[in-house]
Amino acid sequence: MRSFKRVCKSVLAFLLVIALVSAMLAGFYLHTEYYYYQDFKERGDLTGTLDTLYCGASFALRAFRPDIIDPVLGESGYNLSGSRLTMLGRYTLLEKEIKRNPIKTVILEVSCDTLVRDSAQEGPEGELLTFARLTARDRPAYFFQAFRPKDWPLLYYDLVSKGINDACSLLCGRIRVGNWFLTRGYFPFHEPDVPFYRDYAAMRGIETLPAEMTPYNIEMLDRITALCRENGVELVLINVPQSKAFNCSCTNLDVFHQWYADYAAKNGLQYYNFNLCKGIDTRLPDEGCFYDPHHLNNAGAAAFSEFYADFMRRIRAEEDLRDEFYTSYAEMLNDPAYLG
Amino acid sequence: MSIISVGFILFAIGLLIVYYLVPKKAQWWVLLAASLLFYALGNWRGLIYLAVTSVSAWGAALLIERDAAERRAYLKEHKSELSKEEKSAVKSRGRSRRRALMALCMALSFLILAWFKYIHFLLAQANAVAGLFGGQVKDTITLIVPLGISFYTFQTMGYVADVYWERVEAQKNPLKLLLFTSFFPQITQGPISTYSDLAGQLFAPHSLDDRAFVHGAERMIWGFFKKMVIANILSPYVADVFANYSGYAGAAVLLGAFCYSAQIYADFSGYMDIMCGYCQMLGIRLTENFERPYFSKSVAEYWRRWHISLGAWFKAYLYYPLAVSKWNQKLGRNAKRKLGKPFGDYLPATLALIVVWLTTGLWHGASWAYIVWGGLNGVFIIVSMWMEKPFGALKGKLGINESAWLWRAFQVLRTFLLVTFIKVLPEVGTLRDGLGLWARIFRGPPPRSLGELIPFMDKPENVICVLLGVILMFIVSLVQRRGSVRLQMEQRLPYWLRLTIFAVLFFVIVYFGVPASGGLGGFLYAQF
Repeated sequence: MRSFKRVCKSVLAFLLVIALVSAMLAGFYLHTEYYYYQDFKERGDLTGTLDTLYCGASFALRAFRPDIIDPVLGESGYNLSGSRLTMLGRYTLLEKEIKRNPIKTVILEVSCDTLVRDSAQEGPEGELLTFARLTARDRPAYFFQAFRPKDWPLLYYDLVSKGINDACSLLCGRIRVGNWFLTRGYFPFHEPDVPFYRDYAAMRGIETLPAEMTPYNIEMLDRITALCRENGVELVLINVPQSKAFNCSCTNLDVFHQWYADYAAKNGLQYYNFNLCKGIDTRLPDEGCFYDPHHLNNAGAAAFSEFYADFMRRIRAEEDLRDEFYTSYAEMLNDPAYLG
Repeated sequence: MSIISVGFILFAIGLLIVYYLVPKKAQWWVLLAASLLFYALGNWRGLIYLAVTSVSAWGAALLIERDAAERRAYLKEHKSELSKEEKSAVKSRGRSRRRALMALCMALSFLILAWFKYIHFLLAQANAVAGLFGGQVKDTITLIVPLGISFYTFQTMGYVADVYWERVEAQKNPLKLLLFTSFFPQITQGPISTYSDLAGQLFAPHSLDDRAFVHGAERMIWGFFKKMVIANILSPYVADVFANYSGYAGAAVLLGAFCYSAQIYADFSGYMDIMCGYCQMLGIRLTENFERPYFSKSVAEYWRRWHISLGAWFKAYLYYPLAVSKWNQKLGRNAKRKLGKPFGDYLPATLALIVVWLTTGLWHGASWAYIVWGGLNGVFIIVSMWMEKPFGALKGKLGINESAWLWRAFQVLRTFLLVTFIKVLPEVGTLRDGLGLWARIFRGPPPRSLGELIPFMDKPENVICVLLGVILMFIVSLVQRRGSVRLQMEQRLPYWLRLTIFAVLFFVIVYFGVPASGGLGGFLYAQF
């Protein structure tokens, strides 16, 4: 019995040390990691004032600037987007904000990988980022919803390794404690905008994207649609601009575009694919407006937000803007004016 | 089931709990169930071959022992009636019958081993020979090699031989022998234990010993560190150098070879630490397989310190029977008469060593590269045996003080370089590739920059981690000279410091070892 007690003491002592250090490292990750916008306090402070939500993954996180859009449209918007935000994460955040705000419109960003991403293959990072954006009260329920037991070891590794990285970054002065910007969810890049260029003609049709949309993601999209319908919220599906280089390189973007168009038609929703907007490549050139093939930089976010605000103003004024869009990627890529 | 997995950790914890909760008499049943489950999770079809080996060994050993007992009883009963020649004839017939039983059992088990491990090699050689005559031998056989077949076959055949030599009593319970054959901590990479060493511990009752438990856990953490951090970080870099050596500077290839020496030691000894540590938590002491091998002063000493259990097995079951066999001894006497004393003294041992080392090479891999590798090791050992006296005389004349640290350092460095060069030969691919790598080391261009010397170390934090890890392994080896590292830590370091050290190791394993282990999977010696 004495041996058993000593063994228990040793094991518990070791586990206690591991738990304490792990909690400390998780704290570094959740509260100092500059890349991820920790916004539950800001959202809490704005409770009851928001009427428009922008919700998507990192493409939308870097695209919608409520501070530019709101004055044009007379709204009080919030960019609820997050890096690798999964469909479960989107639903969770939307549900919370719709419950405590007089939301009229939800702008849901949809793209080529929104419904294809599978955390079983990608790992739990997306869910972990959402987890960190919730309050302490909401986290336990989300934890068991989002993380299966077989994800827990990888989740633990993610927390510890990122915690160690962030602790080192903090010690070197590369990042600071606290990671909120009071920019209504829009997350600016810290680095200056640098030119981003690719040879479009050479990149034509070199990549075919995985197109198998998971039943789980489609189910979550249906739940978001139902959530909005039940709460009298207008749901608008939007495909934010990707770089021209990316649009030229992929062979099957029309698969996604058509799927979303059909879904919107079936559910009575609006759907706008800004990649197919005529002249978007000159309005948002790769060199000046993109950080990488998929994300707008600071200048691009400002330019797109202005364009988007004006676009929505005209839509609400019931202008017919169909002629300002190509009907498909195939049409766009076959237009000599586009490839230049 | 991979040892480097959460599944194994859960399996190990579950087994520990059940093991100490069940009545002590039932503990070996728990080990047997766990071993069979472990094996089945890796390759359930291989259980058939493991069972065949175990059952045939059990049956053969019982028959051998019964025959010997009947002989003894018969001779005792008819002691006064039989003449000396008749007694001798009875003994001889009995010995022949028992030897035949042993040979039959060994033939069956080694045939199974040979089929799975060597059929492709044999077919390739047959095809090469047929090709000389314009023919072709096609290899259309697809096989999944049973897990640990090399290890459990050798271990079980050693048991049969020990029963034949009357060193141990035959195990009457077939399930107990099955446990000895299939004991999971050693099934994939050894150590190859003798029946007398292991059986008593497997079947004996064990109470929880807190010190052994904690020391075992500490050793496991150390093993995971060596395997996941040092070995797995080095692995892709070494693999790239070996696969593309013709594109690297000579010095970079040499550095890659040194990294391979560090990698394989960390990999193999890391596994041993994990499994020996786990067995220590169960109250079972496994045979040690390493004793600071890179501190060896000769190739012969190296093989007494590296994969000790394999060397011991070959020594006990192949070398000695060959060396002391009548025909070999007769050969020695003839050689002594005709060629002189040295030939008489060394020829029997030389012939036995040649067989042992070619077999060792073949055990490690079914390829000419491995056979040559084994042969090279044998050559160095044989030459040093023959030259021991002349070299001793030369050292005396030169006034070399063999106990001087400089001389010992030279011997250690020389041996390290030799074993590293020999070691990499079969790892590159074919024998030609191995020789090509050697040539590249000596004839490759010099590196034009530090980046070219270390082109595969693209993450500086990994380089630093591996360097510190290797230095730590070196320091631990030095401490080991005085005895058990964990005992010394317990005596010299306060509890909180020991706890901190192992907690730091844990986080280093998580931070560096988990990404390095993703997709890298198994251990190097599991391929044998």
